[in-house]
Amino acid sequence: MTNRLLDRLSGVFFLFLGGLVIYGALQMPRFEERGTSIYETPGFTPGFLGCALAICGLILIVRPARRDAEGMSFWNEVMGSSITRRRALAAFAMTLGYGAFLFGSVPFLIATFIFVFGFICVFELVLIPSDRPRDAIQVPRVLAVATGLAVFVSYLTRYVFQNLFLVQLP
Amino acid sequence: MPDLSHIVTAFGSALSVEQLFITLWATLLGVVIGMMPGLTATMGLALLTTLTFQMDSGSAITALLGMYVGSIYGGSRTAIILNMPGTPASAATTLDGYPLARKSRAREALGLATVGSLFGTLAGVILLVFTAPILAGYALKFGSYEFFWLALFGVVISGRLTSMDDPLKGWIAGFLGLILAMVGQEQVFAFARYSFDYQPLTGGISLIPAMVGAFGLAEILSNITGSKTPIVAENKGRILPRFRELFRYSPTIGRSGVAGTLMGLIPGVGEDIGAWVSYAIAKRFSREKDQFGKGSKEGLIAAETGNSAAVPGAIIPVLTLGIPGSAPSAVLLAAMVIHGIQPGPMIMIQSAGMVYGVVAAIVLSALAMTLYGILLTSPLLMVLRIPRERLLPIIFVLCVVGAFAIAAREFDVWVMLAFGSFGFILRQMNYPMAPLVLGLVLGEILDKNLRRGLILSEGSLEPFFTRPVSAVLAIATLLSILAIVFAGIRSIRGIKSE
Repeated sequence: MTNRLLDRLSGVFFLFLGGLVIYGALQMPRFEERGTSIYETPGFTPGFLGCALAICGLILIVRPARRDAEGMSFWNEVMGSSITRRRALAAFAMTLGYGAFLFGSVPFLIATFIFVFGFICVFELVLIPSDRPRDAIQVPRVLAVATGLAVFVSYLTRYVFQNLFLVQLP
Repeated sequence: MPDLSHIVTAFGSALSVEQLFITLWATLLGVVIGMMPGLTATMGLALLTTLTFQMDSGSAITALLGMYVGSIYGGSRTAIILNMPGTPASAATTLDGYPLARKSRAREALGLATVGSLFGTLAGVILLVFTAPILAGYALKFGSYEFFWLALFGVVISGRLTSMDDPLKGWIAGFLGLILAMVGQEQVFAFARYSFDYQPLTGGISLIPAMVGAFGLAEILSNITGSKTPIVAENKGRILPRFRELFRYSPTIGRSGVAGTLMGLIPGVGEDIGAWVSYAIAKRFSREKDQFGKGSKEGLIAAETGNSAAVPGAIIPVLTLGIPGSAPSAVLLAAMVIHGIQPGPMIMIQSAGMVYGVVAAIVLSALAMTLYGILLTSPLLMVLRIPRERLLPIIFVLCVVGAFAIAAREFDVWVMLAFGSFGFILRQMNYPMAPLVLGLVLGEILDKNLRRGLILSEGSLEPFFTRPVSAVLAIATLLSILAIVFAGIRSIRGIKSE
């Protein structure tokens, strides 16, 4: 995707979001029965901020092409090549999977072990950076490191937070 | 004038065994975090805040200051050895640090950066000691109008300076932060805005989980995608700079110290701009302009003095106005509030000792940082050999647990994940994160003072433009916006004429 296309897409998003913020601000109570001035109403500042965001979004859509308009944005550094795209998506899925699903629903030690072990194995055995030779990978060594680190991190984190900081982990 | 007895008492407390120990480990941790490409000072501070809940306020702030000073300095190690800024604040350091290292003078470059950072921090501290009482006294006269403009000015200038190529994106990030700060109960009627009857949202978005997400998860995601292994320069040569060299560069150190501190003072601008501005000024006054970018010692020392001076600079508005000078100092501000310290214009009256405690902690952290920089150069560089595939999952576990630990609720973990995911996408489109975070901090100040100001003036905008400080801030804000608008029009005309 070119910079210009990305700018326009994000401009549409911010215009829409600004509109939603303004709509939300207009729906807020005005407490007129209490003789409240319009400046005191809860929606006053968010309404203005929504307008500012919508205007900025609109400018982003309609502004003429900049010098770097046809260039490939940083987005392409991540999503441009197959390996970086797969690494980004895998990292996204694993971090979200741990934070949103495993953490809280599975005991902390098991959840953290699965995440750390899985993360190291995926990125050191499967989705290897393009400049690292595949035949140099020592699978047993990686598995041993991943297991050791996963056990160490799970227990140490639980010990530090539960025993020293008195935070009850799920 | 600063109170000497307060300063002596503060240093006395800071030199106690317990405080000294905290300074030493926190600074070392900061240096290590700053060295790791992708782990920023903001992230380090946000994560450490979650680990300081059980500490008393003085120890917690000492630890956070050690982390702050150490991590900004630590970035220079990676910038010089790997040509990768460990933190954004060290980006200018790569320009001359890495070329010096490639000429087999890495240790010399590391030594110069260490001394530059020490002098920069000390210059910033001296300005902090002298300006904080003056600024706090002056800020006592500030009313709603001035605080409104200060908040808006912070977001506008931060948006402009952190996104030099495209300030519009910086402003969008800033407005987004301000809007997100509107979520939750407002102060006049306790009405829960944008909470959609979802109970956890009525309390608003907690700053620390948001920052851990924006600077932690987003960094992890950006970092793991990178596939290139950096080229490490050889670590050879003399580490301590010669005295005559330091004397020769003393005017540069002085100028960079002042410039860095002033950049830190401006709300939301921060250490990276401090380094760039100092570098640009040094180049302008230098007799060896042609060496800049090719391994100039003067350029290196200017960049490092500038970013380190911006640390105390960014703390000045935190202490005296309750407004952060940079993204890491925004976390520091949030941590102070969590620990029951109320920064703002009253600070010199209510807790002047705390201000001088901050001064003592920064000075000792700077000395600890220098010690590590000189004595532990080689062992510290071994940290860079840890593969990111092994380090990043550990950092993420800390992000999740740290976000959860603040209030022991899973909602904060979701906030962290949401900010991290959205922040990652925004970064790929070149939207800066610092204005977003600053907006989140300043949103409440802006809302409260805009509404209060308009109620006091019965709806008239006049006091917003006629009171002296208001007028200055209003002109600065509007000029900042208009300058960008005119530059944009000129650039479009230029493109069309081509």
